[in-house]
Amino acid sequence: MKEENIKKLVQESELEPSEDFLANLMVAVEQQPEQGRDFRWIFILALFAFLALAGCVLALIRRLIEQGELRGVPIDLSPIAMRVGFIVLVLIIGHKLLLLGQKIQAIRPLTTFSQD
Amino acid sequence: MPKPSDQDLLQRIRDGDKRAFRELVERYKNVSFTLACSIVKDEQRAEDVLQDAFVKVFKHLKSFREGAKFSTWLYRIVVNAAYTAIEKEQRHRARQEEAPAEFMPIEEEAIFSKLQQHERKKLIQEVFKKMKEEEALLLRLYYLAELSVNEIQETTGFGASKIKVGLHRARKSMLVHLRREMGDELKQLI
Repeated sequence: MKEENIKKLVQESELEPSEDFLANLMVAVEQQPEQGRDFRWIFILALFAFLALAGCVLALIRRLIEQGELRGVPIDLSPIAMRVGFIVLVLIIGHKLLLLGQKIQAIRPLTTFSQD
Repeated sequence: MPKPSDQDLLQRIRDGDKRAFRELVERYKNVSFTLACSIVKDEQRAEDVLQDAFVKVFKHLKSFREGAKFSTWLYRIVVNAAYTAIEKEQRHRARQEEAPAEFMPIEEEAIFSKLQQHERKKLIQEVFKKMKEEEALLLRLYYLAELSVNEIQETTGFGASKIKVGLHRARKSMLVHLRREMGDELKQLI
């Protein structure tokens, strides 16, 4: 059989879905939850900024404990007070980060579909 | 007015235009439906598969690569959805072996009206129902959806040689089924 005849026959086998298919589909699409924007990157950015800040503060505390001065300015603070201050700072910022994470989760509807 | 390209429609859908989605569905629904029918062999089920596939397309539109061919992506989703539907049904249904369609006698009145146009179309569709799903799918992807062998590879995940051999077998199988159905009238038909 000629190639073009096969093509013609195969094209004649084309089928059409029922008339209400499109209407049903559009209803199904309308019912899909709106896909929220993904703001997780803000959380990740904030987390890295927090880690960087904590690292800097930790380095500063260590330097103050070892040298007792910063750029020639003597700073007389007890090491325990500095460590406690650091822990309090970490707890406050950590709490704020947690709140930020929860907010991002809340504004992003659970519409992460599997990529099948 | 020229028809908007697939990429234009996709951009409009991304911007929230549901009419553009409707237009896109209109454009591809028949070929997609025919492909689904090749696999599930039942029009009602094929419609469910198609609905499932188009909803997936709508949901995952953001993950569609710009510059890729939309039809190939769509057909891959349709083919996957159809195979998934078959697997689901096989898992849930007790194995009932249907009588092999090849041996079903043609109804008498159909014989007399074979050469009428719509009967002829129906007959060809019947032939496709009786063909193996893989063969029917390959023929339709190649001749109806007009995909290249590479695109069929992308759509089905089959290797190039399997597709070429499959197409060759499918052509033969279609002819065998047509001969069985039509006998000498086949020559007039083609």
